[in-house]
Amino acid sequence: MNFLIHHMLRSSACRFPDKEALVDKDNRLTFQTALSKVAGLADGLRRVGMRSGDRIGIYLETSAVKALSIFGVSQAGGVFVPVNSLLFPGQVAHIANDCQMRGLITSGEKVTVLLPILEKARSLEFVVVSDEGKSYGGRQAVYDLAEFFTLTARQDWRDWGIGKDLAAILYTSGSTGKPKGVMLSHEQVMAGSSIVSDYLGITADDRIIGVLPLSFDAGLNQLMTAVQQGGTYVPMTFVFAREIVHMLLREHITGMAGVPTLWSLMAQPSSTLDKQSLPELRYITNTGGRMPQAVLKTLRHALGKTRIFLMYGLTEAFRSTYLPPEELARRPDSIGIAIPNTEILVINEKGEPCKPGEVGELVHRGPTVSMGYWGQPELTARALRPHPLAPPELGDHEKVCYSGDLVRMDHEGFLYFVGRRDNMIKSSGFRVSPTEVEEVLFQCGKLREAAVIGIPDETLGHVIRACVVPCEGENVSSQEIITFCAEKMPRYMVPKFVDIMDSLPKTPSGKVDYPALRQGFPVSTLAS
Amino acid sequence: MEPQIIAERIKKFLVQQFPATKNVGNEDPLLKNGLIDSLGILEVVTFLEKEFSILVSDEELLPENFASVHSLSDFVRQKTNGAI
Repeated sequence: MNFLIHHMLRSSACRFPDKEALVDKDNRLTFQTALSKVAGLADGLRRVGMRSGDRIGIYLETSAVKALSIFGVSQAGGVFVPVNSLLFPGQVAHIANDCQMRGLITSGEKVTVLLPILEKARSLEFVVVSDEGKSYGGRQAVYDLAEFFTLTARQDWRDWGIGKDLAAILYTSGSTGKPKGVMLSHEQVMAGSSIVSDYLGITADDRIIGVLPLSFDAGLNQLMTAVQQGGTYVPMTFVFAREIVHMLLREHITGMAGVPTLWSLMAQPSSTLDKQSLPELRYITNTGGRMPQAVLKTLRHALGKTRIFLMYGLTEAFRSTYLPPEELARRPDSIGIAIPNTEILVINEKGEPCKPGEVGELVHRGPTVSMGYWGQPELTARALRPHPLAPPELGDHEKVCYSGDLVRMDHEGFLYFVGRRDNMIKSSGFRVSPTEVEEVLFQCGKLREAAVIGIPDETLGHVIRACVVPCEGENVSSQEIITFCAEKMPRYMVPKFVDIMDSLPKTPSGKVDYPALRQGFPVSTLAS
Repeated sequence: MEPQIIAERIKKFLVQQFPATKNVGNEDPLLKNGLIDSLGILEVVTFLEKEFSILVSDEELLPENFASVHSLSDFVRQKTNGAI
């Protein structure tokens, strides 16, 4: 019976031992080989003292090694915490401290960059390094990942845990504060892959390209669906969209997921997508924001028979809705209907179901609703609440997820995204909280006030704009502030524009009036 | 044009558009660690085309041509055959 994440790998290895499970550049791993490396890693982690429930960070680019590490941590009874490889040491330190990370799997190159923060990460006891460059002289014990992969698991190996146990923590931003860790159990991750496999029709014949980070729920889900169904996962990093098109051809890819920014790149003539014939590409999906209509039109034209699924999901509920491709022509701006075995409610301010056309909050009910935020019971209680429409006799055993996203439903039950309840920013598919950026702005020591807003933009989702008030007597330039931010944060978090102001608009209670600020900059000025 | 001058003009643009490249040496990687991302690279292509009056073809959009300031200036020099 499959009830833990790595059971999916074991089961596929039984069915298809010699079939390709992971293809990463010239490295081709069969299910049998992948299973053996995962077992070795799990054994290695246990030998160096990892205990059940320990949080193990995986700070690597999207790769076969990252995929194997995820399954290895699961098999060792740990909790994997995939960390986006774009994050800077400051952000990695927050994650390591917040989840009290005990071990970290990373590359030799990244260890060097992380050195200053590793010294301060109190909970971190060991580091497993994926390649050469172990000249690390830090406090933690260092082990060689390649060596772990070659270990032979003990004959009397027994799994730890049950499906309800915590399996993964995915860090994501909200409308305020630093990123929070969304907790997912084994059964929630596995329900997500069963559900997505169902509506995308994923089988062992599929070859799925992974360009999204594995720290992102949709990216992780691609890996899980491929392994669960016995398909092939082909992770890659890229600079030019053209490299992706090459990979689609070379590896006979049948499925690809992307975010609007990625699809905008793929729709550019230089990607050469429209010059290639891709008859094997069975489906593509979009998530993480609305696909620009012009991009959608280009993709539909270039991809001919490929089925296009527009999806919507939030990390707190893993995956939520999809638009069946046959509806695309009729309602290209819809986020569709609930995924299988899931109910989507639209709830108004009074807690009642909305009428068709009425705007309300999207509330998700189903087996992929997460366990909440790690170490944040108050925030969890706000996002995960009792089912508002359940008969009182049922009690409140079931938690549903309040998304914070405003939507409306038409007469036929199709959903449309309207906006956010709060100030959360979406930049290149990533959630960014204004306070995360504001805190960095204040670190320059020259600002009295700072407020960050997202200006709607077709390609990026939001363009980040900072409005700042310098301290008295300080003379600061926009460029100086942008440069300061660029050294502290990944590019998707850095403000594109900085406005130096005399004061910020305030609400009667004295807080920054974000809606008033946004009204001053109604559309993106990137194009100009 | 001297290779050094080409490299300086490229570096000046990079520092302005991608401030995180401020302390990057001419041989250091630009495409790793998110210094320049896939959206940003298109700005680099546009800059090269305008600044050096060259046309970058789809086939030349290769990571090796954009790997460092040095490889960018080499690429520009090849494209112009020393004409600038």
